[in-house]
Amino acid sequence: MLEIRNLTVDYMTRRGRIRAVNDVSLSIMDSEIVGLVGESGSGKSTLGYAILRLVPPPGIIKSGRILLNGVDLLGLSEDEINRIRGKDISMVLQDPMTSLDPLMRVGDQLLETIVAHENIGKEEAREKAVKLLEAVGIKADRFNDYPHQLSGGMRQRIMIAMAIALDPKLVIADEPTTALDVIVQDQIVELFKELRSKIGMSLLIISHDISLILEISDKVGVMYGGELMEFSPSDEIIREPLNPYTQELLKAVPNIELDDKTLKFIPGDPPDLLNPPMGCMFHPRCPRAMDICRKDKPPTLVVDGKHVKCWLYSEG
Amino acid sequence: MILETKDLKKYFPVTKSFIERLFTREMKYVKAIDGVSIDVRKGEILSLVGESGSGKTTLGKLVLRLIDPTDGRIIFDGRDITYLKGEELRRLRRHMQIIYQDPYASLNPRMKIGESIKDPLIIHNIASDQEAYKMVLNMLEKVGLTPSEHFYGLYPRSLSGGQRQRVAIARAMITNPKFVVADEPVSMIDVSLRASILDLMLRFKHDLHLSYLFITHDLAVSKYISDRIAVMYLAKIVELGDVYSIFKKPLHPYTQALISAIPVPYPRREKKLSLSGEIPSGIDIPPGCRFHPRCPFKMNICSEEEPTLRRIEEGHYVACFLHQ
Repeated sequence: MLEIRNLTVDYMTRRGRIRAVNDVSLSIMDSEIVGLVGESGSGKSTLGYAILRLVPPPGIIKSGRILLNGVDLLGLSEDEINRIRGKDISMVLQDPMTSLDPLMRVGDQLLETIVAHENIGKEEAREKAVKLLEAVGIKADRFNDYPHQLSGGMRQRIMIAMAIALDPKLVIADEPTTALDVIVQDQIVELFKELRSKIGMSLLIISHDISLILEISDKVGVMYGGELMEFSPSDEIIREPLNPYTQELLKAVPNIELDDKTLKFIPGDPPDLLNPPMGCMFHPRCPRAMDICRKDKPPTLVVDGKHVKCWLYSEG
Repeated sequence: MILETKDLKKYFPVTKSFIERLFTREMKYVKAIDGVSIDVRKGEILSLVGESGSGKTTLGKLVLRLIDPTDGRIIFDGRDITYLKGEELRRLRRHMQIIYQDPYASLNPRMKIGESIKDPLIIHNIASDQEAYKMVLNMLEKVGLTPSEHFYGLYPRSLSGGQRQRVAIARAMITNPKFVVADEPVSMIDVSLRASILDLMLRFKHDLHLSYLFITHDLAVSKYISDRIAVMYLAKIVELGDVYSIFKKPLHPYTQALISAIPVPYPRREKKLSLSGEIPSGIDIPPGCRFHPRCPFKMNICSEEEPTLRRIEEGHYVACFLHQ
């Protein structure tokens, strides 16, 4: 359904060029949930914004293709991409307080979205808005509330209602639960799963929390320093992570199911994208780094249907 | 016992508009802490776990006397410090420190990090300038910022989030405190580095034999670091126990829900308990058990009477009518 091919995004800052997304390819199928996990600065959010051509300046999409059912979004005019935004692909952002208009009733904001894109009467639009609120678990009597009267979880539900208002094919959710408490996060995750099976949309969910990503997604992409280190079905990543970064990251996550209290960390710091390391982005912190890793960028290899960017698998 | 609170309360008055004040005399309060008694033992890490709005940060500020309590007592190292003032309070401060969540906001951006760490030594007259310099270099090495002379002269902007949090820890530890409140110290740190910060805190606990009140919303992190866990809900402690019993035998439905809400990739398990709704505000605390409107096991008594924290087994306490 959506195919990203060799996407590269640069930020041209005053201190130099930052390659936030470097030659990333991945695809999302119909009604599939794809998770993108990475630490701050890994480029995961930039990738999400790039799909809708919303990379904030000084960022520019340097090269690559983004195909939505065969149509390259990067080749469209401003008008054409505007019609895609919201209608075919919509976004849910991290902080619902800053993305909702504080002076407008939440129901009206929802109505506005519907009326702007769909050619239907006011009554019909209102009916649809109420149905949408119900679909995300908000009672119709909240229609006339202002955002500040709602809790964080309810505001995020409103954002989700707006995102699914026009029956998009794909919803991109950038850290949709990071501002929420764990119990509310759990409710939102369940809501996404429910919506996926009810309306059959695809979901690209972006988060720093690998446990959350593995729990909700069918496929997972692991990003580090702007590069896609691994892209595989979640079950495979749980069973046998291939890239050493994924392996180390999983060891660094506390697992409450295990009695083992040991937790590992990855020595060193994330790469400075103004002066990225030679060769593989992860080699300075990688426990299995070889000579070649310090010199040349690893190719992306397909091993049993799993994509991995690592020299360890180059012979196999 | 390094720290003890007895029925501690903190009510914040709700500010009303001028018109509202004309019509009503009654004052409204947000009950941020509503009768909390906890103790932190020497050399222990007690985690305070709860959602935002539970009052955990307020409790942390209260025990450090950064804000004044409405009622109750705070005993620090055998001494009642509830009403301590001025010079006496100032002298106490070197023994109790705090590490904040946001290492980007807690360091002075215009001060070299070495100077930031040195500051408490000068303020508390612990060392001369020259001795202090040596102590700071030593401390920078302990927190892993080497070469220390190099890091001494850097400004916070040239450090990563993880490194800044190391500076914040160094600053807290330089006065050799007995007790440290750590308020979500790793929640803004990248996952791959969290364990290194937690390990550093554990090392100081061991070396200085100090005690922590570790405030977090993340039960998984608290499992890793703490000896005991206190679960807070809406200004009160609802369950208290050692790490093992909290995770193996959580008694309060709220604790069970918190544990069950943590995303776990493997093994994929059935959700045991999901809650609807969200934590209410501290202005309108529900009558009876404050958790009853969200509780899947509520009984008649729960909306009428308030359960108290009771001992169920050695070291394990819960405030719930299911267990009384």
